[in-house]
Amino acid sequence: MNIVSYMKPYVNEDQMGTNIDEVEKGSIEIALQLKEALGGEVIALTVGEKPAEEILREAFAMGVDQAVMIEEIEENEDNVAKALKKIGYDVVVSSSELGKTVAEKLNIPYIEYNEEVIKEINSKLPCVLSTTATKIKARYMQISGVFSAYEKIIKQEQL
Amino acid sequence: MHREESRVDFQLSKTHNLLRKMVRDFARKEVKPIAAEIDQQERYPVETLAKFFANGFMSFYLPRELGGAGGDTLGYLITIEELAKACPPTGGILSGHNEAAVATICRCGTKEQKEKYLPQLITNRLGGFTLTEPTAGSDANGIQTRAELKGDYYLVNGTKCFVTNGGHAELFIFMAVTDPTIKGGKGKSAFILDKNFPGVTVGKEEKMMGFHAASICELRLNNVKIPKENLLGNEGDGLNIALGGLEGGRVIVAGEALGLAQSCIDEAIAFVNSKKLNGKKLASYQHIQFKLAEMQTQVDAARLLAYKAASMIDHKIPCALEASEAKYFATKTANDIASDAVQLIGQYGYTAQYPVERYMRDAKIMEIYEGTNQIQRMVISRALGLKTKD
Repeated sequence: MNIVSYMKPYVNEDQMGTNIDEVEKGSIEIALQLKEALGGEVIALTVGEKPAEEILREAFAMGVDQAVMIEEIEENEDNVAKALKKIGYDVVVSSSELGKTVAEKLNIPYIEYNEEVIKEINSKLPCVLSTTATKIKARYMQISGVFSAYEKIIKQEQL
Repeated sequence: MHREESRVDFQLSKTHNLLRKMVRDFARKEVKPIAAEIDQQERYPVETLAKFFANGFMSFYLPRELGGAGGDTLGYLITIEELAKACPPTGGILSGHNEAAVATICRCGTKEQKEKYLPQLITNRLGGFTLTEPTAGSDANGIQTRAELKGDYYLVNGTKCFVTNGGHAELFIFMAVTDPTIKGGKGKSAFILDKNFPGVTVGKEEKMMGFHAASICELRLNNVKIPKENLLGNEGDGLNIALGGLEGGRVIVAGEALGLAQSCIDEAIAFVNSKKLNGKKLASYQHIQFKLAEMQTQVDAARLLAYKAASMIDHKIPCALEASEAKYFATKTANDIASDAVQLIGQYGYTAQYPVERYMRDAKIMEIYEGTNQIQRMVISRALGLKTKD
């Protein structure tokens, strides 16, 4: 089971804040809960031209298993869909506004999911789960996750 | 003497920067909102403790192979600094557990002791430390609590005071006299004491000037049987175990002081930027500007001392001098800064409407515990090569 958490590349200008914003943290939280319920792995994915490393390190610290970064390419539904095909996916969890068009490109179900925690979802797999709820209480990065985040390998792929 | 520098690196690693972001986020959301309340109600923040367990704070130092988070001293200092910015005693609670209990068992425990107690300490049982007695404070050698070997257990009687995390800790590092015929440190031993051993009573909780959220208690032991296998190290190792790793504790108290002091400055800046005097912003007056400039310089200087000592510990470089300098200077600075912040904010600063009055009360203990600042100056002066005898 590949649970892909798709995130926008982004650098927070505020050096003191985290790079992943609160809504995106909520999205990772749902991905991690799915993994806890169903097994498999959570893969954090970024596609786009902006620097994404810090976001992916933070995702590692929250508990994702793998990280894939696709750089030097425009962030649009075509490229995100290609990237997903490349890494393989069963569920794509994302707060990105591209979620819907990516699902159309891939011709898979698109579900808007606004619960705070994972409850029963009926859908065929694969599917795109759009999590834009601001009320999801995401877990914090773990201390152990922080200390291992920079030791892990971010896979750099090309389309 | 190790005055000469062999290594200077003033940039924090990416890991430490990430850690600071993580703890700052946690402290802002979980610790700061209840800081004033737990001070006023003199309430131990049990809810924060559960969150510390859930997020890996309670196994901070422990190596990964033992189930820990694999953190280092500099990272821990940053963690305590960020927590203390939000609530100084909450930082103190964490140190009592990690520094005193987990690190001691990790450093001095047998394989069996580690296997039995470390999993408990990192999942749900708070650790504490108890050395001090009414007759033994800075003079740790003066303890009188007696542990008599009776076959496969020690029979223990005595009273401990100012026990760290006393009312809530369940596993204590505990010191007692095993051989009263030896006056020196060799007569004392260290044990792992479980609060659930019959005969252990938690006594009254001290009413304190500040640090209201911390729990400092008396602990009474009446014919308590501590199993022989709970002896840490050998008989006679007690004071070495208690006083080993002191540098770490001192650096961490410096971290509490740094967080507190920075928070005072941040409060004072917010105040002078928003309030007016004679139609002009307080911040526009030069004496206010100069005062804050002095305050920030003091805190930044203290931070360098503390970060340096923490980094030396991580590089296994002896740093008794540096750790004592950091503890002494940072805690003295915190007291100065807290008082200055109250003065800057004026009458409001003296009220509970602003947190600086609480910080001023919280700051004082830092000059006293983990070795009083007088003890720190003894340690520093000993390292200077003074000729004290004719």
